Amino acid sequence: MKDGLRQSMAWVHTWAGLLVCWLLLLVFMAGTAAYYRHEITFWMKPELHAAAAAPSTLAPAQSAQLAVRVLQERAPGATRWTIDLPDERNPLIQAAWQNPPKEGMSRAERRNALRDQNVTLDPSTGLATAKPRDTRGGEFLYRLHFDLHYMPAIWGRWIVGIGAMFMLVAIISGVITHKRIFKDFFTFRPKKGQRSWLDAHNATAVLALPFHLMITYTGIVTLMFIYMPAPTKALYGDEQNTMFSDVFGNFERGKPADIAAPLADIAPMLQQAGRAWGVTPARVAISHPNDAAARVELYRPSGQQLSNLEPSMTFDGVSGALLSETLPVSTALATRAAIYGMHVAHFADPLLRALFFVCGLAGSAMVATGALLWGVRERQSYAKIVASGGRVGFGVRLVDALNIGAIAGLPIAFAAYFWANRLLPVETAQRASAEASWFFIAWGAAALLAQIRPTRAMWRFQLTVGAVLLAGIPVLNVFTTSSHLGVSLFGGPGLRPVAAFDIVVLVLGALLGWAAWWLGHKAKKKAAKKQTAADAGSTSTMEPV
Amino acid sequence: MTTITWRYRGGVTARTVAAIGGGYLLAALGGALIALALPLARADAVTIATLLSFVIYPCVILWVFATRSALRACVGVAATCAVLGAILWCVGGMA
Amino acid sequence: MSMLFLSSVSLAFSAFAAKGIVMDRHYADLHGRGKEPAPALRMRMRTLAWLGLALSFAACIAARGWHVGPVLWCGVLSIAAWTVAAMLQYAPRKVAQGAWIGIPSAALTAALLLLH
Repeated sequence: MKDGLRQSMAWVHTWAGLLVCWLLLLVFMAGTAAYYRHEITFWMKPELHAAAAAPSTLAPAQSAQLAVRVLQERAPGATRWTIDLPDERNPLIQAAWQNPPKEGMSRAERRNALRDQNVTLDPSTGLATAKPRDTRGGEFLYRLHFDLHYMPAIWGRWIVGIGAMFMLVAIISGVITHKRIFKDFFTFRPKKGQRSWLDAHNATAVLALPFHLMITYTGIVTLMFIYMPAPTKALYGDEQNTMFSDVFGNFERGKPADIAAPLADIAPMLQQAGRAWGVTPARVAISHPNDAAARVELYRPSGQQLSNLEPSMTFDGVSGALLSETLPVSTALATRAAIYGMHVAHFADPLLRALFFVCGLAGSAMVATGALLWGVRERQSYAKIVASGGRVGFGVRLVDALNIGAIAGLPIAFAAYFWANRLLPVETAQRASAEASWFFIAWGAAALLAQIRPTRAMWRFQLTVGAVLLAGIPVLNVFTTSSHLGVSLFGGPGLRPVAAFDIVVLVLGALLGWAAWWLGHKAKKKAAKKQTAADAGSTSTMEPV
Repeated sequence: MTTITWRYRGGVTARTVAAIGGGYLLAALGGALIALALPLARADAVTIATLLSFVIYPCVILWVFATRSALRACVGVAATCAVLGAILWCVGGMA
Repeated sequence: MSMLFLSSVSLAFSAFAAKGIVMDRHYADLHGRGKEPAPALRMRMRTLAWLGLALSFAACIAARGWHVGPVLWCGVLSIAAWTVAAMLQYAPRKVAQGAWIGIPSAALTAALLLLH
């Protein structure tokens, strides 16, 4: 019955993959970009680049004290202050605050107000940096990959979750159906039509199988309590909030005492935490500053553990005494946190992060080659019909069009988002959502054009547009910022993310350009072959694409 | 290759419903039972059970499509759900 | 840290290269159609390959610890495997030559592990 199993799994693999591949392309591409969301956000705020270029001489404790001074000036009555201290991914100090909500503010109004309640500080000057342009930066791409867009977040999460289940089934069925998974481990035969697409699909899939399996299962786990409420219902009944605080920890901030009291100096607290952990705290959160019930929480940077949980130490905000530390959690909860942590990869240092990024690109390539392979195979069955002047079926045409729209169209969308960041005037109203809308305008145009004319010429056109737009970003940088590659490559460690961004989009653009060239090259070769065959008088045969 | 008859289409539809819908129900019932059965603190039990239910779900889906006939698939899933449901009801876990 | 990573990658590359050149398809590509590797050679290469992979794993654990190390190792394996697959297609002779890097790599890794 083994062949029956392989056959049924092949069917499952094809359909589980095909039905959601275009959604998965979006999720994979946006998710892969999200590994570098901080760097992308930084790149998209060129006003901050000058400050980042100057090396900081401030010790972390002094940076924190600077931030507290600024926050005392700007938001002495806030309910909560958050300070992100500089690290290798963020060379500047981020300070934010939450004001007590005014009467009658809607959730959207409150969220919009929060966007303005922050300031970026330059540790080398002690002053606030120039106000960066309003942009969602990398956070847009991060949210896109699980909330989608233009819909309530919960719908997006369900759609992506269902897509992830399809993907999980596709991966497992793919492994079962792959007859020669070990014998063909290193097999890659280019220029052999359908077989080459299959080899490419196998190479991107099998040789990063641990990553693909991990990223899919862990992705589902991040929202698993939403997707599968049954066990919670069984044990907690209707007390879902109790379950959340049991599993995720209690985030109650306590009430203010409404008695004014000066805030203690946080430098000794930072030093105490630093001694206990062996590493400087990454983040400071102060609840009810300047109140008798003030609390200072210090968060440990992620790095050694897979878990996404951030151990913290809580100090009394008035006396400076250590009140509590996060206790180690049970094995089960630690396992969940590690699984979650594997997905968001906060622990990843630059090397590991780059490896994750490459595997994410491979995942996108895996989905793309799978979809293309299906189109090539189906087209084979129409070979005779097409040769005698007929047309391919509706399914093949639709898949071809969707493939162009997603595989060639999505890179155009990403590029458009970055171009919009540079070109939209800074004073544009709702600038952040305007930037995001350009992602979808570009994608929509590409997808629509693809539906109208799903031809090889359209492939070359869209791949070329994507190549020009992506590779053109570093060039655009020259005219729109003062931190283009000429500056960022030699500007010191603070500007390295900016340089890296320019180089990565340049490489990706070059790849797309090569693909467009290769398609044209193949077409010319095929035409030449057909010509010689016609000259020789033999009937032309339909070759595999 | 199988010819695309109505019988074939019916089989595929039945398996798809059994896999996606029935599989989810099976994973949910199984998860609930595991949560109740584990002799751990509530938070631990609910976490492990929910993690495991997403292992059960794809296994059921694959089994539904691998098994010999669509009838077997539907009966298998339905029967398992019935048994799990009955146990749950006895244990008093059903809301 | 990067030294351990580089040695891990070169060990994995060497291991996969050793495995690859004794596979039927790739051996035939190198030595002529229909040629098959001698069973003794196959056994030797496979043993060396497993040793290389084990050392590669150890290097990753030394580099990043028992939690993050295995994750790093999976990335190392992917990079090494893609390199070998590409080279077996486009530069098969270099794969056989490149596999020798395993020996100095193993020596270096052993030294690094002992010093760690």
